Amino acid sequence: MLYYYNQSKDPFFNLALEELLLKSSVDNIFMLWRNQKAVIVGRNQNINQEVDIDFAKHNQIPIVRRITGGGAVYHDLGTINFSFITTKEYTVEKLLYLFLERLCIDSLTTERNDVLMNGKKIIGTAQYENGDRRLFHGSVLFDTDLVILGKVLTPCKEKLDRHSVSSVLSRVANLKELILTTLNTDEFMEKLVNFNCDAIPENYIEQALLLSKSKYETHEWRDKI
Amino acid sequence: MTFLSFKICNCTFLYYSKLEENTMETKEKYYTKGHLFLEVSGDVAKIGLTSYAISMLREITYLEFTCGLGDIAKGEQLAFLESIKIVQELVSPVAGRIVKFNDALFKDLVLLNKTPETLGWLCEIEVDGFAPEDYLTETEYMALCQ
Repeated sequence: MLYYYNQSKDPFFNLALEELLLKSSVDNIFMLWRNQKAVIVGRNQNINQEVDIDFAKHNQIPIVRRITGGGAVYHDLGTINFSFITTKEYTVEKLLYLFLERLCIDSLTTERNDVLMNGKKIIGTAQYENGDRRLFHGSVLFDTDLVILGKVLTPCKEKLDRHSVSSVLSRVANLKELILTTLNTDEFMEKLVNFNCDAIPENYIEQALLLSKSKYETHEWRDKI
Repeated sequence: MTFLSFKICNCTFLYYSKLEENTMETKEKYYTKGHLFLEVSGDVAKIGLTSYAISMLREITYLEFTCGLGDIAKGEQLAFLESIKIVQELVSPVAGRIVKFNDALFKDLVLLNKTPETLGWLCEIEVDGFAPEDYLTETEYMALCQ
């Protein structure tokens, strides 16, 4: 497996890079990355229903559509993202186990490929399958601004009712608070990146930049639903 | 019938068999490793997801055909579907011309979720030179699913 530490904080580029690696590379890849503040919506979600667009605009939070399914999430520099881009020989369960092993934290439980601690969701995941290859990625709420998260995400009441809770905020928590660490996100990332990183090939970076411009930054893709 | 290990498959397959008896048409059924079925009648193949695929995906929440009526190559993208958190690309298992989509799915995905191999079929393709040896028989497909 190749290990990439993608230092870009641009959410459009980062999602484009994931797609490019899925479709152009034949390698099995593990990648860690973070985004500047952004709302990332699922491939087939209606932005108007999931996001407070006025709040996002006022706070300069871009809305980016990813290719994987699932619900809208809020990212900032306190959110740590991981991606496994592999053949389907790697099961999702196995990949999630590999990542949790890297986190070295006890008392985590999994539920439909989400990860909970003390009943609160700290990691959400999603997938995209393309022939024999799969993108499996997720976000760790480490030190995310949960106040902003609670304001910018507006899932419909029906969805919240299904989860039998009253708000987005009551379902999630930051790992930093749960494990009582004094490490900041940069320091925690350093701990996670305890491997010999492989360099992301330049041509992939160039192509991802093009894909970012031609797809992820366009209203045609962002507002497709 | 040995499609007994999956309850939903069992029910669906019995229903399929009954339909077949009633219509008395000659239909051959084949499968792909990507969990699509092809119900071939003359030079037209009805394409759909197998009951096993649906049981694994649990529930399809979104379906989007990415091509229109007309020519399609084998391996060309046919549709996107989303289940709980997974988006999958479906590619055409045959080359030919798409002659019909199952319009009922646009109104109700329950048909796809509950009866994928009968009422929940996806599209019909007029096939250019169907080669049965490229696909799995029912027995081979069931072995793959076990």
